Amino acid sequence: MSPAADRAPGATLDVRSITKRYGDVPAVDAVSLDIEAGEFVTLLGASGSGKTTLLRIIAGFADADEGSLLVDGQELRSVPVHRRDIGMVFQNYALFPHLNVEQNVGYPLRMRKVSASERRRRVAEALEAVRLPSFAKRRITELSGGQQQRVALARAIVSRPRLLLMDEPLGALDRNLRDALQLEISRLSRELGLTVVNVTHDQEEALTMSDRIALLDKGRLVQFDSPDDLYHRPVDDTAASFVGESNIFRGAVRGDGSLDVADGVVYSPPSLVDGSAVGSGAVAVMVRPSLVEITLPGRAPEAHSRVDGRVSGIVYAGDSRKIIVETAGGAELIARENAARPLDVGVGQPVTLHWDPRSSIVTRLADETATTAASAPTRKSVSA
Amino acid sequence: MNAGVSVRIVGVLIAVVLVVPTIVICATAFTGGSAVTFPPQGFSFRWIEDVLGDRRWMRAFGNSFAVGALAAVFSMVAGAALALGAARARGAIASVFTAVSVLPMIVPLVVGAIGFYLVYARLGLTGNVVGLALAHGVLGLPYVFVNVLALLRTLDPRIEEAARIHGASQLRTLATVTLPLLAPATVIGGLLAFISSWDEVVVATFLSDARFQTLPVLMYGQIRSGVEPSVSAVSLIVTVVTFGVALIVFAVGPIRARLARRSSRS
Repeated sequence: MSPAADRAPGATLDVRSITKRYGDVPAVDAVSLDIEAGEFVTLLGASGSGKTTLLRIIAGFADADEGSLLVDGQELRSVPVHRRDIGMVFQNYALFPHLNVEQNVGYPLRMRKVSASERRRRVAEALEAVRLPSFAKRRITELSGGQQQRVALARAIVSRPRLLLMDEPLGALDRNLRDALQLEISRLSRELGLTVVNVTHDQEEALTMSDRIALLDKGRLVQFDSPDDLYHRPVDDTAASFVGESNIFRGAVRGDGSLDVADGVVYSPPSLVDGSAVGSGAVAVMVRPSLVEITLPGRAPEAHSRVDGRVSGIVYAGDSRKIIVETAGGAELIARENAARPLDVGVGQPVTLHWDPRSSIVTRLADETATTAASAPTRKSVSA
Repeated sequence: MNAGVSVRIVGVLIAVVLVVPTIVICATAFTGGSAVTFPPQGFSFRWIEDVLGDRRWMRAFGNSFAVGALAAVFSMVAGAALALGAARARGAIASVFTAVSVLPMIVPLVVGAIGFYLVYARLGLTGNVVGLALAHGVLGLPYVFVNVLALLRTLDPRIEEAARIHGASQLRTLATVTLPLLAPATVIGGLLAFISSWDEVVVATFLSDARFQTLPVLMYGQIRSGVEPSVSAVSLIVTVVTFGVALIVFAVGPIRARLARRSSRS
């Protein structure tokens, strides 16, 4: 590879209705993603969402039943794994235990028949990039988890692959290390212009690192958007409940365009609802806990949406308290206490939750038959 | 008397039954007299020197060593290959690999020996190193197979995937990653195969002739014409070699365990 090629940005990856079935059950169901060169994309989803299967299909460890994978416009599915020109970081590092750091990082170059001197230079460069310059001769067993993951990262980027895949790269690390490596991986991928496909179940990690997030659920693509859009404009209640904490109510758009919300919520004013955006019929109404205010019954502003309930728990989470309120209908809602205006509430106390209707989001229901999921507000907590 | 004490007494009894005969025969090798007696009469190295200077014993020693080493190589190659097959194949084929590999442990030795004799006699594989080494290689197969398979089961498959995605074909993955990782287990199996060949007498008797004999075969022949201190001296040598190899096995064991831990960390 010439020095000019060294700086070549990553490739585009066009995932076109990839489907993979195990028996009759689709693990990946007609997923399409158009990933741009140099873009950092995260496949986000719970276990069983198909994110790992999709990554393994891109890597070539599994083959799809249908669909195509185009890298810079060329079909990848017929290319054997070792010729795909991909770098990959595995969850448990998957370093070669019988080789030292230098030999591990140099492995992709050795397989590509790069000369020994060139290899040494580029291994040193890669180790420099992951900030382990003096570790070349160390044994893998002498490294901590974080160092091992840096070595794995160096190995994945040393050949300047067209595509960098990461399978829960930070899953095995503790929190502080994870935060530091998140930033470092982001920096590195941008500096090198790498096209990255990252898999995680950690929504914070996804929001922090990604240009775009592909949210997967039961094998299907729910939404493929920037972190900002995913957070503020979820397409349905699945997306809303997976990204960030949220209180979700089931509701229905009436014929006149106004909104009817379940769980004893007084939604006000109804004219704010743009029924056309979500169609008519059943919808989900979502509001973030940080935008929910808490007050004594009867004291909520008239213009606000509100619901009555009783405090059922108070949880310290990070720098503010989470107040858990149970409504008369048995639903559990979360409000984040505003640190500037501390509340004097205790468990068992009747309260009213209220919020500016403009801060709630009305989306369609992912699955209208799943009434249980929709009528009981989903409590999704930030992994902390 | 509590359970701990009785367990220890049983342990000591078993050890005595197992070890004492070996100690006795090895001790008699140092006798100064001309008959096998215990305790030995006086102390001398004359019988050991006698054996070391005897061309017949030395040739048998050489034969045993050559057969054992070659058998170990056969066992390692075939055992590792079959273990890989058993670990990677699915269903019936994996069972076939396993069955083939453990069969030598199950077939009655004397039956196997007659079988080897009938087949090898036609192929000109009796009375020479290669024939006996092949037969012993088959007998040593299970040691390698079981060891390698156990390691393969703990090996993180992602290590091989990492090799593949970073540019290694299946063959190069095998050569640069899988086999080096399996090497310690393969070597242990090979050493055990060597030990099993080193003192194997049944098959060796069938496949040897007057001009080609291994140590155990020659010893067995000698004992039938009366126990001489020279047989004790040979026993000592055989035992020392076996212990030496066993020591290597024990030394390699921890290394292998460390490697397995390293590669399967999850």
